[in-house]
Amino acid sequence: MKTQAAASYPLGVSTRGKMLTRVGYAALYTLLIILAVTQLLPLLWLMLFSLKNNQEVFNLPPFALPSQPHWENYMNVWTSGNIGRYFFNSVLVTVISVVLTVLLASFVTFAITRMRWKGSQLVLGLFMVGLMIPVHSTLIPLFSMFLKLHLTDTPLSIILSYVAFNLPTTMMILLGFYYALPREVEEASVMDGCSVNRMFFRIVLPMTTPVMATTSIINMIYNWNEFIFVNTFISSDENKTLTVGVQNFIGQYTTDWGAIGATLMISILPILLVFLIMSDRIVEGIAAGSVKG
Amino acid sequence: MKLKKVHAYVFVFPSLFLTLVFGIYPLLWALRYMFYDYQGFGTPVFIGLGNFTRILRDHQFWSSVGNTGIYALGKLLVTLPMSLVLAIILNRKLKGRSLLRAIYYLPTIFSASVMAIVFFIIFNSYNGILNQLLLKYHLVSAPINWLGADYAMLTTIIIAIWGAIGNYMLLFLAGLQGIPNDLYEAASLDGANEFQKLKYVTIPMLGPVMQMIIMLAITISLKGYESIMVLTAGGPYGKTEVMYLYLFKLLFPVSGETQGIQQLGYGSAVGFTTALIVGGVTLIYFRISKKLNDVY
Repeated sequence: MKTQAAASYPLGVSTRGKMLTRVGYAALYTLLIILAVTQLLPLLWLMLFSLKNNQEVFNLPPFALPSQPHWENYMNVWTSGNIGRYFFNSVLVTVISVVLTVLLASFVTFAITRMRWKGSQLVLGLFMVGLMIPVHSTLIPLFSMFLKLHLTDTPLSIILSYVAFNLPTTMMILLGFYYALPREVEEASVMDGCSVNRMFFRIVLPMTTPVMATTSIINMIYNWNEFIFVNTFISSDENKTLTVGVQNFIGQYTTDWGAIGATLMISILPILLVFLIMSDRIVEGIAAGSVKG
Repeated sequence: MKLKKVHAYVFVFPSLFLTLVFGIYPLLWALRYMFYDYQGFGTPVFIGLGNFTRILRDHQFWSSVGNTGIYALGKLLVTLPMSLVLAIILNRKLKGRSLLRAIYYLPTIFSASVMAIVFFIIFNSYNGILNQLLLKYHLVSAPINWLGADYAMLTTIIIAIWGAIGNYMLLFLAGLQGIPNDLYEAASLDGANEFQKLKYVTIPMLGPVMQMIIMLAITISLKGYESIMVLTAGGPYGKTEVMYLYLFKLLFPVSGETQGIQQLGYGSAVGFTTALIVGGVTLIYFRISKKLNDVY
């Protein structure tokens, strides 16, 4: 069967050649799987760790299951604090910031790559400067500014900072793709009497869906995990996000290792779940796309 | 044409406003105070270039610059080629490729500070699981002090690579998807093999996107500090102190550190210098890569 198939192959690949390819594929897969295991091990270990008690943490081998999983680690951590509230804040801040950032960055990138106007290079330069701005040196002036505007300790202060600081990076990623977009589609739509707004929302945005997905994910991950801004601008417990809230728990449970594991797991679980549910869409959706000319 | 111009300004205004108010203005504020001796309280005293002459003599700062170079170079030299190769492999029709893509990307989604705590427990020399495993399988005879002076930088780089590969793989993948299929079909008709397609279609077509991705990678790795802060806090003996970690300590000093006083003036000057270094490196890269692109 196999030899027949090989013989009928147009370029006449010999069975020996096929064997080599098979060995090559096996080697490739082995390498890919080793790398995949390396990427997964710390997470797997953390999961096991969060289900153990102190004695099991130190006496059992690292990747051994506990005799019975200590789910109460999660219960203790969950009931003794504000994790639900932190969770809500994280979602709120992340979603609003991501939508604003990607939309605004698309506006700018479109204007810079597709329109002719004075100062486009200057504006691009300003955003490039934005890319270089060290976040720390802006923390103190930003704090005093938010204080004057009565915005400290509000989600708005966080959202505004996230959008402003993520715009340059988002634009940098969008730029390469916008430059690669074929101009013919736009020209055709202009010939058909399409307005700029319509062209942008109906043609350009859909064409850039894959790269918008990429930037959304990058933004989502950044915002979800951001620590410094929240730590500086937010003082009350009810406005804290998950990353900052979690640090309190770590401080509280310095001797209870299982609880530390559970706390760490809870802080990564929401984004892990989103990823598990949507990973096909996220990873495949970014790659498969309509950017093809 | 006129309509187009108005539109451009409307499209740009909101982002420009945000960048000016929340990025450029605070930057100017910091720029002003880098000429002052200011501890965050009392009256700022104008000292001209005093902070900068202090930077020139600040060995701790320059060693942090050197460490940043080692850290960024070590991270990028492994991460970028590896992620590009992975992207090219996983861009082909391969069984299980979406699962592999997802697994490689997974570490990227976690908070650097949270994962640093996890790695701190893993790389711990006394009861860390890495040493436990190495000892159990007799790969080492004595526990390795992963966070000690000899290996701390290597450990931070390994962790950084672990967290970054998937990210750049995905960016390269998105770039690869932007290459029109017609080109590959045309190359096939001309009798090009897989390697030739890679050399004459994929790499040149990926050029502009690759240039942007590498530029992003450089700035990000020069700015990285969060996981190092949690993992080693710059120690031991400043071996893993990177620029932005040093800066952070000046602005938000931790009690018990040698410099326990908030130094807004000097911190601003250091912030400016680090930004100059990052900007300079990025600019040099941009120039070189542009020249390389022109050659093609």
